[in-house]
Amino acid sequence: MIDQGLIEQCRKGNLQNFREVIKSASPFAFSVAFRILGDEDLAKDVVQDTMVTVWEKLNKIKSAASFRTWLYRIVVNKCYDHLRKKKRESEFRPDDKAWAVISNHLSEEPASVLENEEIARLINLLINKLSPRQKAVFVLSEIEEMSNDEISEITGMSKTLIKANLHYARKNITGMIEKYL
Amino acid sequence: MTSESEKYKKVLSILRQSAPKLDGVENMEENVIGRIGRIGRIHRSFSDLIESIFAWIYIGWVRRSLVTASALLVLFFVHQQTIIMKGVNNLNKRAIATEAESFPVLNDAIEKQLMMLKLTGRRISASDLEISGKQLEQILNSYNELQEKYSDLIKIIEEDPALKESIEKKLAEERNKKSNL
Repeated sequence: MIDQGLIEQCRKGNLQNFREVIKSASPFAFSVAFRILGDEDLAKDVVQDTMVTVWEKLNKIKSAASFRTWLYRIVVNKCYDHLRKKKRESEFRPDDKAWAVISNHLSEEPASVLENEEIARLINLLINKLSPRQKAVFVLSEIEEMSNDEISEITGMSKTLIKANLHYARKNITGMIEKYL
Repeated sequence: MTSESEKYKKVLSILRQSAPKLDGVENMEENVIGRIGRIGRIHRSFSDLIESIFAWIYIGWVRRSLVTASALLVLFFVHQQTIIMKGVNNLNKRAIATEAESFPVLNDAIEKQLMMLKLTGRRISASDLEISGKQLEQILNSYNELQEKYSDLIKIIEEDPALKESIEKKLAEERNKKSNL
């Protein structure tokens, strides 16, 4: 749990207290990064970079209550950077085998919990064609179940833009599901 | 509810309940602390340097102004040095454009050789002389070397009647070929 006292200690340069921040903030930062990027190693890099940025900009945190949103904002921005690089490097081509594996999971009752590798595969299949913004909105809204207000604060987008991006993301993903599953 | 939206909801529920697992938090923690330590050391050494140079100023804003002014001066100095270095690097590419500019750098011996060159029928106009004194000296040296080799060759031919005969025969053949053409 990250409280005001812990943040104050970190501001004073106490690295031992910052270890606590890393321990408690890394899992949820990793969750968002991994779901947006669909790549475990890349997500870990993003989390590390995020933690270093958090340390450097500790003075900018207004209160412990806003820490989570502030952290998400850093994570999402770092993910945008990686997605831009990734887009330049290679084009993703989904294959039918991957869809078949996902289809098997979907047919299971009750639905099974996926391993990291399977989550990455499913994320890549579903959201690869979306723009970085649409990916972020889809993950934050549909998977992390955040409100539009929170997403707006994290991404800096207006609520209308969030709704539009989410609409397009849903349409695209539903189309993919319809086509392949 | 259509089957597509049911599938979409099922995919979402699987993704929601499959939280990505972050392995190796301890490693990440160490990496982050290590990076923070390195950044801290760089910051500290810079602050120490500033402190040691401007320790004699006690008024904050005066110290800040002096640090800024010093930084600007250093930048200006580096900029000037870059321009000078570029200029020096380009110097050796510059040719001496006119005879008037080239002759002052020649010594007497070269000047005499140049006169000889002109007298032997080689016409060199001032506008064609786009070479440096050093290059001109090299040309004259090469020319002298060639002359020496030519004299040696003539001497060898004169001393060997068989060789002389065969060369004369060869030259006569060449002349015949040319006249036939």
